[in-house]
Order: sequence, then structure tokens, then C-alpha cells
Amino acid sequence: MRRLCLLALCALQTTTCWSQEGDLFEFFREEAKVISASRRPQPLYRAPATVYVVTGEELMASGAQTLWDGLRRVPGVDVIDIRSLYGGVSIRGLAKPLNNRTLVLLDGRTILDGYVDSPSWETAPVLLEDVERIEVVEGPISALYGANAINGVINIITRKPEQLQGGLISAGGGEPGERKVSLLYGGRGRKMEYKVGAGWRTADPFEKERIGGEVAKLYGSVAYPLGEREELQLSGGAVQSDIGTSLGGLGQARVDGQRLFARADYTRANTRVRLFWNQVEVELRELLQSEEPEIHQNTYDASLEQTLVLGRDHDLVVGVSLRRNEINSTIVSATHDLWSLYGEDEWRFARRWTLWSSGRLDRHPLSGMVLSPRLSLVFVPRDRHTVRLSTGSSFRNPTQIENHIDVTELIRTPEGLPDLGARVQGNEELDPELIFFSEAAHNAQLGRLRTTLALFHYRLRSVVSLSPPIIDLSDPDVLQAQITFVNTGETRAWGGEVGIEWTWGSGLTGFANYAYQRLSGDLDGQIARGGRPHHKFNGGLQVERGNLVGGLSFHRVGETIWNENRIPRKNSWRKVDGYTLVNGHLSYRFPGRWSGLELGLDAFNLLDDDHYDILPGENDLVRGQSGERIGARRTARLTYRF
Amino acid sequence: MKILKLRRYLLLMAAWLCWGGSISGQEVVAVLSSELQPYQEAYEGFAAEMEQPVPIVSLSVAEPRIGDQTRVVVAFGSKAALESYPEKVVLIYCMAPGAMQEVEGQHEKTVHIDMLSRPQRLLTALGEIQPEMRKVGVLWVVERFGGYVEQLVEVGVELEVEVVGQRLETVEELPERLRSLNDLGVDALWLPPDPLLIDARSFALLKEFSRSNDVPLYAPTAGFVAEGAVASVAVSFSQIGREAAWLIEKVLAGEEVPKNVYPEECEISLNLESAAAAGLQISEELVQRADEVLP
Repeated sequence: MRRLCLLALCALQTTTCWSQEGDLFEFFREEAKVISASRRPQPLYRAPATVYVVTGEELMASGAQTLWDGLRRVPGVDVIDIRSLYGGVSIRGLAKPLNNRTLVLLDGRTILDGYVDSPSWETAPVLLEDVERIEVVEGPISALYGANAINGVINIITRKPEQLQGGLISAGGGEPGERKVSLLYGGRGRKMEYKVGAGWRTADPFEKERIGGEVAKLYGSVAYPLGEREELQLSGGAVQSDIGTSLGGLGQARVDGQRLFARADYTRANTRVRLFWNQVEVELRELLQSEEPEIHQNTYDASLEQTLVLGRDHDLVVGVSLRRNEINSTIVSATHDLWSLYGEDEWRFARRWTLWSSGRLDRHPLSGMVLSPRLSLVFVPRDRHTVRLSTGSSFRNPTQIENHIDVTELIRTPEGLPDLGARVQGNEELDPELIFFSEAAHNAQLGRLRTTLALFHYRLRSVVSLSPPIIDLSDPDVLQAQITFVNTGETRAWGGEVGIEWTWGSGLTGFANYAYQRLSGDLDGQIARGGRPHHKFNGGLQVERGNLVGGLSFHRVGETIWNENRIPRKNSWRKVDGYTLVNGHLSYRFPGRWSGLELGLDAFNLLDDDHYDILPGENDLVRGQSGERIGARRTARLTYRF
Repeated sequence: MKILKLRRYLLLMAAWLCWGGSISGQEVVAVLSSELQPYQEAYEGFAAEMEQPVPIVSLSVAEPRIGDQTRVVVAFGSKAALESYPEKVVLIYCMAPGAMQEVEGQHEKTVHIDMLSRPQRLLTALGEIQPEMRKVGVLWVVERFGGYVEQLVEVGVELEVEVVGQRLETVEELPERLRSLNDLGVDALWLPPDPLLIDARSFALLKEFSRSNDVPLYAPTAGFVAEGAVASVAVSFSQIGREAAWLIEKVLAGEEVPKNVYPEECEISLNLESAAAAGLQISEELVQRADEVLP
């Protein structure tokens, strides 16, 4: 029977008149898709800022099991592991657990939790397997991205449905208490492309007395082509989580709740309209003794962007953005309406010279107007070499917590001492933080070798930090301390990064980079003192041979110095030792009848160099940053692609 | 057309269902990346030339499971070429213009049928179309085309045509590179079939450049001539398929076959309107001789 069918099929196939509706461009697009999937993207030479790219393949081959650990390879990036499912990323020396000076985007949409303007990485509605690449823009860039891009922007870009054209299901587990399931599927229907992702992950803490966590996420998108270069894309998702975290000097907390988003993108030729809604509904547990505050936060955002081609040598992008931030909670309640206007011009005024000028005007209801200008001059001295000089300013609006919080906490002290009552109040008079920077950079491609060099200097003004406490001594049993947020003086910083990446043949790549940074003026007591770690070195290799993929990365992080956060409040500093982190990955893609099946092994901290990234607390009166001792993590996963 | 499409789909589904995705028991097997027309045209040429019926699997319908008796797999497109096949199988692949490096890293025994004609043939034909051509610019992104451009440069010395090649890191560099070629005074522009360079947007830009600067644009396939290129000197897709069929005989007979094969026959297509827009007058003799002429 089989033989008969075979012959029948072939006889018919050879006489079938193929359809003539095919499209030559579609053929090249299909071929490009296959090549692009196996090709490393090149550095963004002509970009007006320092940009590094971590591809999805590099992320998976690095042994990283979290988004933040996948960014360790980027020079100038400070990664801190805080809990099993909670980490922090900062750029060029402003590291702290609740970092609010780096803007984090998911396909261009902010994923900062609006009440603290800080990201919760693990609860981002994206699976590691769905990451197409992560772009890290280093240095102040509010002129393009708005508030919080004080020291950079991290944009996580997910795979398009057409890149998936199928799905995967993955399950794995390991130590400590790690279990994980992921499902991702994307495809193309008659009139639309679609993608859906779902995942569940749980992990125990490295230290028994700490909190691990559990996260479940579901998201999806559909894209409707409406015509030539016209498309409507709708997406949405929900993330349920209960994870342990650190709120720096405030102590540790368990953040339990959900995050939702809905989004619509319309593009037509050079016009883009984007609408989105972010919701955070969380309960902060085990933070305060008096209550477990619930946070209800909504962000509504609308933006319109237009690209104008002005002759042969000018490209101009202009845009307008409106945003409403609402927060309701027992400790903070407010509504902020914000708007902004922005533009960027690329002027190729000579054959080897390009001038990028951009500016953005932002209005905050309490802080008023802020103008963020930026200039970048790019010179191409010879083929595949660029030299760039950039200067400008950037800003961060005070968070809604810093503007409006009102909470009182009673801290019990050892017997014989009066208890401490602390009232923290927001300050509506705060000015935005401003950063003024200058940067010089060189990029080159020398055959299979790529080099990058960047030097920077910046001054951060009007730094928002906690005021010295005002102590009320009228009650002999309770010392009442009143604290608020104030703008203080100026922090200055300088440093640089140097890096190389190389490729041998088609299956072996490597990288090595070094970053140095130094800060003077420790005005925000939650930032690692002096911009430490001063020295960071990263290196790694990635091998792809036949059905085997392997990766090994090495990270040496220098010592840091953190505020002990003693109560009554007093700045006293303690050192956290540097450490060496080696991560590894090995996976095997089964051939033949098992094709589609892949077995992967990941190891975080292969050398078992147990370490702290931030200070552990000693007790309620010396809280440090509530750090956890970070140990090793070994996991295995089985993935089936279909 | 819809009926034809449905029929083809049903046939492919039937093949998959009957063999459970397995096409064992056949010496030669054909695998298509998808059912796009260029792959189909190449397969048509291949099937017409084969004396024996050959089973076919389209990756958009089923996954090929190659049996023990299969000695040759003919893959149409990069995706099909990059599939996992048993080590002993000889892979003949075509219609994969940018994936040669990737495929060779994946398989031991491979033969690639190029979409390009021999450099001498190409440059000679371009000289016939544009006798005054003295400096031709070539742009590409995919690394493998660098070797072909080097051969073009050598041939150009013999034919007294300077070939100015510039590789782009990404297609985003195209405006800059075009300006650079213009500054260098090229009087023609030829494109290889580079998937990372050619898309609707870049092709529109190239056409605009060609017309604005009187630099005729020569395309890598005949289909682009209908889209507005001045001309193409290209191997037809069905010819590529026929080449695959001829190679199978040699492979099965155990003859040595080069890793990369340039098809011997190529066609000239002309677009007279585009030629006029780019300031080029094509000789009547060539118009008579061309395989396809668009008014």
C-alpha cells in the first residue's frame, strides 16, 4: 500500500502545475530567516550610543537561568543576585537593590514597577527561550527614552511569530529546589501571525531562612498585516508571582500578587502608534510589622512616532507620548499625568561624518518640565572603524513612593531601651535627578575580531535620598524618628570599558571584556560606595559543533562596599568581598527519529564560590541590604521543538 | 489556483500519513523548505529531468525521516539543507543562496548548486548589455559572496572592467554604501542573490538609486527585472533543479563532484523601460537575443 501511494504521489507531483502566485521577496525573506537564525548580529557601529547585544542563543548557551545573569557578559553592567528569583542590573556604577536609574523595556514597553520605578526581572512576561536578543544601551539617554534612562536602557526583544514557526515545550529542574516548565508556540494563520508563551518556575532560596519564590506567566500576541507596510499587533499577558526580594535598607519582603498588561501597536510605513496598560497588584509581605501593604498600580501610555526622510542626508524622528500613573495603597496614593515631546535627527553632513542630535521635553505634574538634549558625532576614519563623541543630559523623576509615601513603623528594641518609631513621609517638592555626561567611544571590526572601547564621565545632580531623621524625644518609651526624601548634592563618576569578540569558523565564538568605574560623593546611601565594584572582568567561549552546543563564561567581580543601614540611621560602611563566577552550559540536539528533542545542562557558579552580592542584615537594627549568600545552581532540562 | 494548492497540500499530507513521515526505501529523496514558488519551480525542473519518480517532503507539512536505503537527499532551500540527515547520505542542495557556510558545517558530504553563473559568463553578459561599462559596483552582506566577488575582480582585469566590491554588515548600511559607490564613480551596480541584502525596502532604494544616478541595476534573478531592475544574467530556478537531477547520476555512480557547481546555462532578461530610466540604450541585437524582454 505504501509503495502504491508513493508512486501515485510522485506521478502526480511531476505533472502538477505549480501555482504562480509565489513571491520572490518572500523567497528571499524565507532564506534570510534561516541564515539570520544562525548568524550573530553585528555590533551597532553607527549607533549614537554605546550599545551591546546579547542574542537569545548566547543567553541560552551561557548557562544563565535568569535574564539578569545573562547580562553579566556585557561590559559596564553590574549584576547583583539578590534572591533565587530576584536580581538587579545597573549600569556604570549606580548599583543598588532597587535600582531606579536604568530603564528596562520589553519590546519597547516599560516593565518597571511604577511605584518604585524598578524592574522585577523574573516577573517580566517573557520566557528565556523567547528572547531574540537583549540590547543594552549604556549611558544617559533620556533624550530618546524619557525618564529613568539615567544610566542606560535595557531592551528585551522577543522572537516574532515568523521566527518561531512552531513551538517548544521544555521541562527541567535541579538544585536548589528548581523546577521549571515552559511552552512557546508561534505560527502564521491565513490573515495573521500569532504567538503564545506560558511558563512556571519555582526555586528554593540559597539560604534556608530566606525566601525563594514561584512565578507563573502567560502571554500572547497576534499581528494582522493590514496592507503594504501596515500592521496591527495586539498583545497581552498575566504573571502571578510570590517571590522573595530585598528592598535594600528597608529589609526583605515577599512580593505576592499579579501583573497584567495589554498592548496595541499600529504601524504604517513610517508612522507608529503604541498604546499599553500595565497593572501591578501586589502585597508586600514580611516587610512591616504593622501591616502588609497592598499596592494597586496602573500605568496607561499612548505614544505616536513619525519618521521623516528629509532628502538624502537627513532622517528625522518625532514623537509625542502621554502617560497616566495611578497608585492606590494604604501607604501611598496618587495619580500623575505626564507628557513628552521628542525628536531625533540623523544628519550625514559629510561622507565620513554623521551628527545625531536629539532632544526630549518631559512634563511631570510635581517636578515640572525637564529638557533632555543629546548630541553624538560619529566619524568613520576608515572602513569598519567608528569614533564617536557624545554629550547631553538625562533625568529621573522622583518615584510615587518618594513623592507620596506615608508609613509609620514601630521597631522593637532590646529590653531596657526605648522602642523606635519611624515615620517615613514623601516629599512633593522633590526635583528630578539630573545627569550630565560626556562619552568617547571607538568600535572596529578587524576580520573576525571586533573591538569596542568606551570612556565616560558624568555628574549626577539633585540625587534623591533619605533625609537625616528628626527625633522626637517627648515619649520616654518610644523614640519617634521622622524621615523624608530630599534632594542632595552631586555625584561624579568616570570610567570605561574595553572588549573584544571573535569568531573562529562558524561554530566557535569568544569574548573578553574589562570595565572600570569610580564614583565620588556617596549621596544616595543605598548605592554601592564609590561606584564599586571598581573592576569587572568577563570572558567566555561558545561552541557549536554538529548537535552539541556548549558555553562557558567567567566573571570576576571586584569587592563592593555597602551601607550597613544601622537604625537609628547612620551611614556606616562594610565591605563585601569580590568573587569569581563560572557558569556553564551543554546541550545535545538528538538527530534522526528523535529530531526536535534537546537535552540541556546548566550550571551557575560551577566553582561553588559562595558569595554575597549585597550586604546581609545582622538584625532589625543593622539591616544591610538584606543580602543572601549566593551558592551554586545546577539544572537539567529537556526541550522538544515541534 | 486554490484547487491546485489544496491538491498539492493533500498530496503532501497523504505522503506524510502513508509513511508516518518516513520516506525510507528510496535511493533519492527530495526535501523542500516550503511551498514557495521558487522552490517549486526548481523542484519542477528536477522532477521533469528525473527518470524515476522521487518522493518529496515539504517541511511546511512534514518532517523527513530518512531511511537506510537513501543515498542522496536533494534539498531545495536553506531550511531543507540544514535539516538533520544520516551521515552516509550525500546532500545536494540548491536554492539556498546564503547558507553555504552553515550547511557545510552541518553535513559531511555536500554539493551546492549555485544560483550564480560563472563569473566570466556574468561579466561578459553584463558587458554585452552595457558596452560602456567600466566600473561595476557589487554589494553583499552574506560572507560567502566575498569569494565570488574576488573572482569577478580577477575576471574584470581581463575584460577591462573594474569591479568595486563592498560588503555590508547589515542592510541598514545600504544608503551609506550606495553613496560610497557613487562617490567612487561606478557606472553599473550588480547584486548577488543575497537574502540578507534583498528585501522589498532595499530593492526600492536600489531602484531609486539606479534611476537617480543613471547607474543601471542588474539583478540576480529574472523576477527582479519585472520588479524594475534593468536586466538580469541569471540561472533559472528550473535549470537549477535540472542540474540537481544531472548531478544525482554522477553521485550514484561514485564520480567526484565539486562542492560548488555553477550551472552552465543562464538567461538574460531585460527591462527596456528601466534601462531607459537609468539612461541605458540596449542594442537591438541583444533585445532579439535575450530570453525575456519587458517593454
